[in-house]
Amino acid sequence: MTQALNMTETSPSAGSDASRRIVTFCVDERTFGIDVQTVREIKGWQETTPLPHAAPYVRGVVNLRGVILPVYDLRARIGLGTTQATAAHVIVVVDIADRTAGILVDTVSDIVDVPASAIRPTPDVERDHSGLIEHLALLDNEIVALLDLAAITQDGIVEDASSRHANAA
Amino acid sequence: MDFLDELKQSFFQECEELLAALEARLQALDEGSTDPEDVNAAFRAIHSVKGGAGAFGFADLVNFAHAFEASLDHLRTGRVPVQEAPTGLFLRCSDAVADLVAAARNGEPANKRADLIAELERVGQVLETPAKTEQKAPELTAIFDKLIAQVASGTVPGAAPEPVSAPAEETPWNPDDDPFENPRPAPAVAPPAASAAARPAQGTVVRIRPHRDLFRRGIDPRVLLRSLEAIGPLTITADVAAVPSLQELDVGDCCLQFDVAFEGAVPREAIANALDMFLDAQEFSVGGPEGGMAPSGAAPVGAAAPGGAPEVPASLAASLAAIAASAEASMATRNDAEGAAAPAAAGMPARAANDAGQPQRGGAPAGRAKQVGSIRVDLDRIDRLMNLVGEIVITQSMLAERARMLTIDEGTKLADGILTLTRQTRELQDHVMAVRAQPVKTVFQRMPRLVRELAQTLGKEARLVLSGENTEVDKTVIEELADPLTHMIRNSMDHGLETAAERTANGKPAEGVIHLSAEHRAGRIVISVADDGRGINREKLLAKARSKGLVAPDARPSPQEIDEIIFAPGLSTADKVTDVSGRGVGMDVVRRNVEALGGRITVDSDPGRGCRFTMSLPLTLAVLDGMIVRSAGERFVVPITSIVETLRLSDDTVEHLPSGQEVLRWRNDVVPVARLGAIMTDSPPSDETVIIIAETDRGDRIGIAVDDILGQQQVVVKSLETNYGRVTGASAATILGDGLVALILDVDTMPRLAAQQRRPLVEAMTVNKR
Repeated sequence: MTQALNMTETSPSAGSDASRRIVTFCVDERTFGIDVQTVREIKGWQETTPLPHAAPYVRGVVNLRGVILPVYDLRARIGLGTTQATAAHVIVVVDIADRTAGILVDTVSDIVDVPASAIRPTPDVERDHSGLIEHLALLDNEIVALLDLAAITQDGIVEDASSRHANAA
Repeated sequence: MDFLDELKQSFFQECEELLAALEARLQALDEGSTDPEDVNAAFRAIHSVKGGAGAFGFADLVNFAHAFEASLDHLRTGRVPVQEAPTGLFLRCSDAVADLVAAARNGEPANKRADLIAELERVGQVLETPAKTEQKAPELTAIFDKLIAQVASGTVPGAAPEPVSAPAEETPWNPDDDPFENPRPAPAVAPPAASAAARPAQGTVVRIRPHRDLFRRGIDPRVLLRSLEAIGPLTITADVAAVPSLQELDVGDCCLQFDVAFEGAVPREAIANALDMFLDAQEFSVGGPEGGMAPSGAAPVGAAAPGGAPEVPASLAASLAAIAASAEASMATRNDAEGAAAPAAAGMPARAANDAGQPQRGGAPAGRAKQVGSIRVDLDRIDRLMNLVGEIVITQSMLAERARMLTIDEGTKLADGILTLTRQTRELQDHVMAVRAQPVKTVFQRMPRLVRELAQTLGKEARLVLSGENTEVDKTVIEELADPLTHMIRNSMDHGLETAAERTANGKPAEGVIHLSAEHRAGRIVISVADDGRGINREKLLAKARSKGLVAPDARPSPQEIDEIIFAPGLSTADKVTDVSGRGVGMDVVRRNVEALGGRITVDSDPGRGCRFTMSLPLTLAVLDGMIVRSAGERFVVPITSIVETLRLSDDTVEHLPSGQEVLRWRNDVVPVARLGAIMTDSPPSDETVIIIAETDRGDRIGIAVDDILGQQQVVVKSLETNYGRVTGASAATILGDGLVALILDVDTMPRLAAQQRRPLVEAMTVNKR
């Protein structure tokens, strides 16, 4: 499947040997990427219904054609504060195991093929995002942080109401 | 999944239904029913299980089902009076069948239950004279010995390679394609049956021409013949004409045919009754002097005279034969009765008529017509349908909202249409829900036996009273109910009920009563298990919980809180670990199961008088009537069914307890107040002015304070768990007319959340109090 896409659409220079097709998007001038296979669709920002007892990066839920979709704020998740969402913001709808979730990002920038040789393990210095970044992809002009989607959506539910207040304080 | 697997799956599904039916009928018999239909239905159920199991080669299941069936047959034939039926044994056997089905389904080795088979075989034996039993076996064995000898010596016509076996190869098998009536084979050796038929017919003659798949259907011909032996004295002749040569013989095929000559006239119904459980109507026929039979020499009667009127003129038979002969090429593949009957008329004009198959054939559909027609549908498809209905409900509320934006004139016109649409949607929804709904009876009816068995094991006297068995709930919920219910009943039997001696000493009737009930309440199904036993021993429970570190040594939990400890993991209050419960699988597992279903379980104990466990489960995929409210800028849905009253709050009606808890005086009652905005959003508590008095599953009242009531509408319940997880305070979510999501409040958690909200304050103040 991936190979077929490679042949039809992309520059031959990328090479068809074990390259990964990545959707890249920006949050706060930084570039992140996820595997194109996990992306279901990309939709414009829509108002969410907040959920009680949830972590601050859980923006709430939206209606995705009759399905309740939780939306996670990537900016808040990586510790840069809550996104002031506008119509220009984008929700990337992704499949994570058997669940579907929305990731709120600033903009979606590109779809690129990254050869396996350009993908590196995350260096230890990448401390803040504790396990959120799976790999780094070294492109010609920038470095893309490949996200671990499961880690982003983990621990969204705050079990005890009191701890929520403790966190907020 | 390949085709065979699919077939297997549908067999297992069918088994579930058959087993349920079997159990229900046996249960009825156990409760003293003498209705022959109960016996017959039970027999049919196990027979169908056996048939299917035979087709898939589940030998252990076939064996067991066979023994079971044979034993039930004694009831049908009246050899064992229904009143004396060993229903306890039968109920245990129906359990064993369920186990065997499960083993077959999971591809696990099964316990063959030889013990039960032995018990089953004893049923009815007591009533038979030993001499008769002895006499039968050799007779049948002799037939088979003879048959084997014939095959071995090559005297079987089929064993000779050429002319006789040739037609068998060319002609596709046809149930009506009786070699005796087929003009072509001219067996060199006169088959024994032919000579039997040649004898002057004194008694009724039954000709059994089983389909080749007889063995694969799990039917042993000996059982067939025995069932006929029960009717009266007879002579059985095996007809081996259709047995092919050894090279061609497939041991899985049944090539045997039998002619059974009764010494006297036997009613056709008796024969049909004995055989129709094993054979299709076209697999056997009854002839000879018996009511409605044609005199010897008359043309055989085909479907042309289904009523059994045999007066077909010979000339007509002859012309039929002529037509048949001219169309012989097509005849070979035809499978209808005329096709087979016509050559029969030509070839064997003097044969005794054998129209028994016809009335039987006419009778079978009539019997079936009594049942309500049904089809098997994937749950998936119904789910999709239900989802679609949900979408329609949302669209409809969206339309209603748009209509409000129109001018009054246009809006009114549209409103009429929307009103009709609303009614129709609701009806549609009810019907789709009804498709998935099943009465809880299917689970409840397994419980009386559990109680009986436990009573025996534990040496207690107990009776189970069921109520609300017909309460319907979604099939998916039904399936999940069995485990928690079993645990709850075990718990009541083991820990709740006292021994008869203890009960009598305490002035209670010796027999304990467990009441299992179901009802619909607040858009949920509420199932409770109540016993009149000793109740929860709070001192013991608390001591235990302290020793296990579940409760802090200095904590002073309320009686209610102590009772709730019973749901804590790893707790067993029985003095010793018993077989019945207390092997680490306790009420904590029940609670986990129930919560996994989006339900809740609570306990109410009255020491010395009894204990009641109540679980409330959602009716999944339900659509509920909700009141849309607003608090802290967010909209929430309160299920209408839990709302008692709404009222506007004035300052003087709300009071503060020393704990900080706000309460409301309402109809001589003190109701705690839950500030919705503070509970469900991050906003600080505000002075909401509208109070919704709601009732929880336990019957507690709570005043939910909201900013505003926006309206009332039907909403579709959407799971939050699918993509997110459980949300405290909300049972689910829904999509409102504007396409945005609103949470559906879980009213039952409101009292706890209201209390939690004040918790810091409570702790601060209770330090002095205690």
